[in-house]
Amino acid sequence: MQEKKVKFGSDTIHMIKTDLFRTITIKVVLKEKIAKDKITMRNFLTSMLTDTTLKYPTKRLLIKEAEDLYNVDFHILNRRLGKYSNTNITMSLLNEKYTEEGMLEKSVEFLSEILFHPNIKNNQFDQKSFDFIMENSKKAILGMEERKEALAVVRMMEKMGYDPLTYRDYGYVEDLEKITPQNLVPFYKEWIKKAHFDIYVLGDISFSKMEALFKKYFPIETYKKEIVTPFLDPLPKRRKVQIVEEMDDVEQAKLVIGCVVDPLEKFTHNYVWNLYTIILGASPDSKFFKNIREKHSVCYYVNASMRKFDHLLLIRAGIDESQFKKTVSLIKKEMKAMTKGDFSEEDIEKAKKLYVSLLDEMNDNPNELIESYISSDLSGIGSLEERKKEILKVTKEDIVEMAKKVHFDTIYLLKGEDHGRD
Amino acid sequence: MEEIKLAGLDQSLFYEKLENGLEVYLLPYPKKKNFCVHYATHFGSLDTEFVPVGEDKMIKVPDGIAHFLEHKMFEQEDGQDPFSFFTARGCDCNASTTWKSTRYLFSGCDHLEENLDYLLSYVNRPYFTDENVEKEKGIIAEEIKMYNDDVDWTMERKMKEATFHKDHIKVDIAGTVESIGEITKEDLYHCYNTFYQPSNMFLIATGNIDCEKMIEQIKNHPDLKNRKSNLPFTVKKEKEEKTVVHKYQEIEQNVVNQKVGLTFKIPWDSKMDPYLFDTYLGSLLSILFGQSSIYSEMIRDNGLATSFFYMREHTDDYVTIEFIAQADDAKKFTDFVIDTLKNGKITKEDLERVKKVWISSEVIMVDNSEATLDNIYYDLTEFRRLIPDKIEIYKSLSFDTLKKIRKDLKLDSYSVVVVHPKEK
Repeated sequence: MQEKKVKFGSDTIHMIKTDLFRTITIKVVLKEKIAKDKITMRNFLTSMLTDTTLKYPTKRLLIKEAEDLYNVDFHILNRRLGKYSNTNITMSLLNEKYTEEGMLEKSVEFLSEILFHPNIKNNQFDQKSFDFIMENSKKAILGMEERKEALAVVRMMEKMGYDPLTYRDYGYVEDLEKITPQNLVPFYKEWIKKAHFDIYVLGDISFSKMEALFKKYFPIETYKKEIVTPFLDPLPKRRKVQIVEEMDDVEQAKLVIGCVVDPLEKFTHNYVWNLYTIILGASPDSKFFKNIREKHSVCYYVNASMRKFDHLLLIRAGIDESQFKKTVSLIKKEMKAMTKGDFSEEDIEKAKKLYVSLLDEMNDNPNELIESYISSDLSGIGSLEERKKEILKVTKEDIVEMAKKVHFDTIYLLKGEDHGRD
Repeated sequence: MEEIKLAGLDQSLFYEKLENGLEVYLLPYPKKKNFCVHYATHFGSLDTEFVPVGEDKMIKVPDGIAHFLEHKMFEQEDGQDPFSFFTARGCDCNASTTWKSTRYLFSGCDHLEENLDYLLSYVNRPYFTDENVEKEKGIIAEEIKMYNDDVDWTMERKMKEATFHKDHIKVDIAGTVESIGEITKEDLYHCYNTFYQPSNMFLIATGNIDCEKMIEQIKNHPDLKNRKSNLPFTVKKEKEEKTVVHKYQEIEQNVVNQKVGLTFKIPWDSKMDPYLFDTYLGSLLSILFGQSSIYSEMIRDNGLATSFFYMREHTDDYVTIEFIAQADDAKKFTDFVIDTLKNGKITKEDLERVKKVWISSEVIMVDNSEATLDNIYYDLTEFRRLIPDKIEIYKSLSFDTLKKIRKDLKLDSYSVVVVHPKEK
């Protein structure tokens, strides 16, 4: 695998040459500082961009073009990463060896059409497309209420109360109503001008050809842009753990616990935290799985996950409401055991192997490989090979010290409505 | 081992049927780092009435037993936990149950031999006790409740309940909290001894594997060698009626947006290979309702649905086409779909476009070893055969045949399910 980075002012093209895949994957990452009042509008805008363009003024024609390019696949995703709001546009296409000459250039042009040539006429976005996306977005935002597991996480974060954890990634209906085909135009122009562009390309490519194609089709601004760290400021420690119970129409209660993690030094943040989480609750061999699910059979799933940019550890379980107190005390017990070093060297070895294996598997998937480069660029963590070496240095003492830095903040339960009462 | 070339894909697969009847499919990817092995049985949630091996009377076991058995396979007499075993060797392991099959799998990049050895051991060594069966009931009850809170999942089940009278496809794979409460260890052993014989099972491996070495290891595995196999058994098949249970049904649920489900119950074409018939059906749907079709555009422009998708299921007697939409006016949406299926215009160019897209998708997919494995797994369980020449089949699709199939298509048996929000 060969790599090359080309800088244009604040923007960068990252090229990775490998013959492992029959496809070429392009990922354009646009990042800017998160702002609550922009979330809904950005989601709306990116839906518009992938709905129609100037050259392909209906969705049908846009898809038809993608099909003509041998089924080139594209999608767009907005997500918050710490202080950043990220928009990822991913495209994957077959290498010309399997299709016909000229398809690579046409696909880059197609991508540029989606990003840089939106369906704007007379200073406003196409009304028909706008109306459809509006109707769809409204239903999608309201529809989030149907996804109870995800909803429980959102509600827990809102109860924690720290911005931007409280922000809803999927947006707000109130903000939707403020969007017009006219005011979306300056919003788009500002975004495309100010956001940082990182373009990742991976596949059996020629560096010079790729660079030339992006220069030809991507009118990227080259002036300096504001750089922010993606990491949130450390979260405050709550004196008394907050317990919140809310009711909804669910058959199974959804338990979500938010834990604040103290500021960690780099090695602990990058490596020790992962092993801690794997041993605690991120594998079917974890303490949670073995002791809470298998021994006490109170739940089907109980797991821990990291939100590194947010200094946050999330614990989730689906339980019977009557098992709420028991489950929480079992979770507390396992976390306390971690601070006392109540896990074996063998557990650490297993966690390290799992970590290394997950990294190795990233090599087999173009998207995940690109993600590994993105996370290096965002958080300063080393390459896959470096990570594999560093993880081996983690000791039991490191994990015990790490465990002491995790604190319960909010325990949230979304439980069934009491149908017996009015 | 027999080498089978996946046509048009620069990829080979190696096949062998062992003496005990176990079928082995090996799909090597020398450039990849990881590997993935699935060990599976043709036993799923549909199989609840059968004559167990060595007996002569039909028995009925509780709904959800195949999935329950899958969970219980992880219980070992020596106390070794398979999850721990694989994790200690850097591998991920899992299992899953469908209507027609159950599989046990692991994937990773290291200790392939040792892990394969263990997979073959633990799935060939059942250990069911009254206590461990009882313990599992709590966990699975929570799993069932978790799925019951998933509105898309319940929507699909309601649609099947409205469509099928007898076919067990209408019952949730995991059963119900009540049905799993009745399961005993004796039931589990009946199922295991019948359906987990090597002759009713298959193994697929992919990724960074050495095929010669692997097939030898499988052939010589002591737990597999000692198993009795090739014993006959019968599974009860009930003839499913042509009609649907409910032509139209409204259900109140905890949804925000109204959802509409439309299921066509179409008998198989007796003269045509099921996969080919299914592929023609798929091409017809893609032409009429794919994102680049004018009818799809009409659904959108006329506000018939904000979003919709379709899929197919296969039972012994029928193929179903299921449309699921977010639509405010159920009648307008379903009338339009029915009319389009019957009268929508299709052209030769449309078919050529679908072929091009599908062929590209096959090439893209084969890059991903696990997706390719899943695809083969699907064919082996849905069509009970390997289909190595898909690209050739796609190329051979003829417009005249498509027109004929469409003309003969029986679309008069369908059910509509409307799920609307509860009145507050």
